Amino acid sequence: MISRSLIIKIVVLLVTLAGIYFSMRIELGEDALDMLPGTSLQGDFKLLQQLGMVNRIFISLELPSAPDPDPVPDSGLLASARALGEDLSLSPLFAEVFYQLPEGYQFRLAAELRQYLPVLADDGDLRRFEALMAPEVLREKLAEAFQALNSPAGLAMKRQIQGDPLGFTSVILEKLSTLRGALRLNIHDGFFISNDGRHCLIWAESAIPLTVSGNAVLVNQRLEEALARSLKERVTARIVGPLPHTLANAGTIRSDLARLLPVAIVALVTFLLLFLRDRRALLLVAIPFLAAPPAVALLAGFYGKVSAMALGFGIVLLGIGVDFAVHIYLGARGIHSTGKISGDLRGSLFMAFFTTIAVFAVLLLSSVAAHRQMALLGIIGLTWAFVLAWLLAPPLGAQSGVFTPNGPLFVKEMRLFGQGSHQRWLKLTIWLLLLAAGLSVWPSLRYNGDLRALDVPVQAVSDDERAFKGIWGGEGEQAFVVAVGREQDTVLNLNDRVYQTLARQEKSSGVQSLAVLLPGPDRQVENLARWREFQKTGLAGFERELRQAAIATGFTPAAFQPFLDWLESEPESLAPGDFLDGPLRPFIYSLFREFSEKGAIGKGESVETFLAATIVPDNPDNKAVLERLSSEIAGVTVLSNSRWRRQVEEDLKRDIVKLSTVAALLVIMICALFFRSPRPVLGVLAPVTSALAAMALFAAFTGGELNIMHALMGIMVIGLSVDYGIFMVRACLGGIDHRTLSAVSICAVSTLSGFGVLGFAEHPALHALGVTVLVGIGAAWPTALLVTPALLASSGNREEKP
Amino acid sequence: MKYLPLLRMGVLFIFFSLAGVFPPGLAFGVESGGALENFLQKVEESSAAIDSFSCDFTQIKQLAIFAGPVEFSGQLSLRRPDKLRWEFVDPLPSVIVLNGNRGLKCTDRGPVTKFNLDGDPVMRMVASQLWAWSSGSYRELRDDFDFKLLPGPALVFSPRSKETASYIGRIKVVFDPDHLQPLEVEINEPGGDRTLLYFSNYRRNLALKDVLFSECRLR
Repeated sequence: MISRSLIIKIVVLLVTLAGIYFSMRIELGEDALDMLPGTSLQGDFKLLQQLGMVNRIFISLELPSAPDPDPVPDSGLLASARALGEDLSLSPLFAEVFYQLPEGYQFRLAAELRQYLPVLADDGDLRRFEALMAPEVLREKLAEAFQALNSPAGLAMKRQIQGDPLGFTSVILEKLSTLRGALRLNIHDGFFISNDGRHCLIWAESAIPLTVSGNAVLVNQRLEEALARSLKERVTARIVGPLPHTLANAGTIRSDLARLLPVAIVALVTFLLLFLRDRRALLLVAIPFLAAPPAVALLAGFYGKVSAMALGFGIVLLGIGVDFAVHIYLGARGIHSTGKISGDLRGSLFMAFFTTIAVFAVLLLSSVAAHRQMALLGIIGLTWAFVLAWLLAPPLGAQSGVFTPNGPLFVKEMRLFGQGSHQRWLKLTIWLLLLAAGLSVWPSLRYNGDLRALDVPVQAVSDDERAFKGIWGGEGEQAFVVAVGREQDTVLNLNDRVYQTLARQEKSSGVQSLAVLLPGPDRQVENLARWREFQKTGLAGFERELRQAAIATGFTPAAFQPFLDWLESEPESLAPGDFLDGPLRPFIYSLFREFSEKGAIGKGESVETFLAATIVPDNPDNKAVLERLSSEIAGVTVLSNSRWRRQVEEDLKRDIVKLSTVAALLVIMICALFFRSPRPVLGVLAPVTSALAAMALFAAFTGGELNIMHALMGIMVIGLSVDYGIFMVRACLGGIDHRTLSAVSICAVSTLSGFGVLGFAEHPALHALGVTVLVGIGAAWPTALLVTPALLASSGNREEKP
Repeated sequence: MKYLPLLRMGVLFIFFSLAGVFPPGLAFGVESGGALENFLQKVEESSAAIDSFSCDFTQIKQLAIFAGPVEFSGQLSLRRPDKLRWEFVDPLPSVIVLNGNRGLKCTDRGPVTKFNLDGDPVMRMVASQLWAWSSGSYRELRDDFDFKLLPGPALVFSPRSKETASYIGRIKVVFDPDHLQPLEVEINEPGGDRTLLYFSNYRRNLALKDVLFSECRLR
């Protein structure tokens, strides 16, 4: 006959093994979208991804400064750029590599611009054409052309001069500077060169998402290899973009965890061994960790793909389950050395379990996807951990004889923690002062929605970015005004409206737009109508003037017949494809994208989507116009860091208020249901209020900012603190017991030693996690031991147990 | 690349104007592969004998779009291994200077423009071909042109590809029989346009001033 105990053990073993098996097959995701609150923000980030901004890598090649810098680029610099560009272009890891415009691009561009000049020229351009056609300017231009044709380069210029002797094309070329935006670069033999001639810019787009650390490592490795092969003597490279940030974050997290995890584990194990003084007891309290594999497997079954961040933190959160085993172990020791859980302890455990699960359930309401995954992992894992602790700890403990009555206790001095009048008012006063201080600083706390606050501040990365901006411009932040739609014409018209709105601004410098090269169909129609009017009225008498000027400057009267024929020809409209594969592709590709995505209706059907972006300096001067663009032009989205910051701050604030309120209400409800009296409920909540007040004070003293990590770990601290309160209140109501004090203390110190170590992490997210727990639990623990009993002191409870 | 032939033509244009760096007394034979190779070989071998030279030149452009032939004159100075000055003096002054892989150009109308041979495809090709030629290598040009040796002596270059032929009909170089220096260069275009260059008054192994190759000042 198989015993019940053996069946339980077999079931646990099978579930654990199955959990390990399935959790090994889990698909991990490192999508940054998972960490962003709110769907609108995720939509914005997706647009940035579609525009290729997230996967873009800028490589600035550099020569050391010379005492007398020559603005002519060094041949080694250009050779390095060419070699690097060619090398990277061969790699499937890079979708696009822009390092040099194609040979002869000037000729090809001039020909293309001349072909489409009638649809590109606006009213201002036509006025400049008319000025060039004035008789005195006309003669001067033809004299220049005459000299150019007689120079060594004249043979190559003959056809161009015949077709456009006045340089109409140059007028349009000048406007193309808007394709560069705030970038300060010159084009030298097709290379992108800085003003001082010492730097050469290359930009590439990774074919795989760079927000995934594994991809970033792969791409970086290929990049490093190419740099080693390509850079000539004295040439160095700076890499700017999301890549160094992903690498720095992944590297710092890895280094932090490698450095701190062993410390945390050693600290935890040492502490537990020190106070439990029994290796078997250590194994007993570690039983809840068996819940992790099946919880992870179930989470994967639910979501398919699990955020790596959610998994990492979620497993850490499962550490709360250890608290159940600690209470069972200490509660059963001595009195219940047979392995029975007392009625009082059962009640406490159930309450603690329900409140913890309730807090995690509240986290399911978070607008951050990774938070929701963590919450589900926590609920599944803690439920199973509770079951394991409940079913396995008592019989195993009894069987192994660890429930000895004379084991060490963490808290022996009972007088200080009792419910008597011993310094009761002092304790309550200090607690109230803490709450008052916390409340007083709470309104001054700011919600920092800048996602970069969680970015690791690596000096080398910051230096490279600062140097990059100093060389290439774009010192301030940038906003992206993106027109999105299913129809290409609609998108181009929207993009055109955006540009026209920005062009009307007083301070419109630094705007990067393709509207000058690719006006929307509506504007093309306008420009064509204006051009036809110009053909009718503006050309009257010009033919005679041109022929006379030609004769006067040494040409035949018919020398510029190709120009006259072109002026009178029927103009053509243009489409993005006309320029997209041309010499300006590097600039156009950055601002215009067409892609297919699965349609909502019909399997396998794909829908074409078009994106056109305008890049605008995100500064106070443009704040109003960006708001206007966002609100007035339907189909246009403004992606701006300042706007995101505001959005994240709003979402974060809403999340914190909503989650805290719901969590507080649920905890109060559960406590009220169990205790049916306000004072025990107050006693349960005392550690929570202390934790919140301490965290607020700490945040106020360290810059006054709250971020996503604070919100997340704040919820966890609430969950833990409530448990301390519950165990203490139940202990007080049943006559205070040193075992409860010890259990709460062991739980608190183990949490502090485990999480608190993360307070020494270099990565801001891990650091925020560590200090939040450290401060919160650091305040909740003494409050539970000192204040909760004091609050219950006059409620006529039973006497303290010896 | 349809503009490449034009750039190469520019190379030849300057190359032929500078090709007079050969010692006198070289014999050459009739129009045969062996004679041509022999001639080219001798030119290559002797090209290093002159460190520097200066000469006068006259350029006559006969373009359909010009009212008549246009004559420009000027001076060419060269110092091996990598310095060259091409200067129009009359009627419209302008200068191109090559010094190593850098250069200058200017006219009487605008400011001096610096360029880098690595950064300017036209000038890069001019210089690389020029120095390759003066050091005795014809290989690159022979990839694009058929060579023909004529009595005179003269060399005729015909483009191999149709694309090049749409811009360049034929280039003829007439050499001084005594010194094997180019006396005339004639560049014919398919439409009938023509450029003629006449070189004279060669002065060899001169102590040319550095300033000629470091400044773009018009005379």
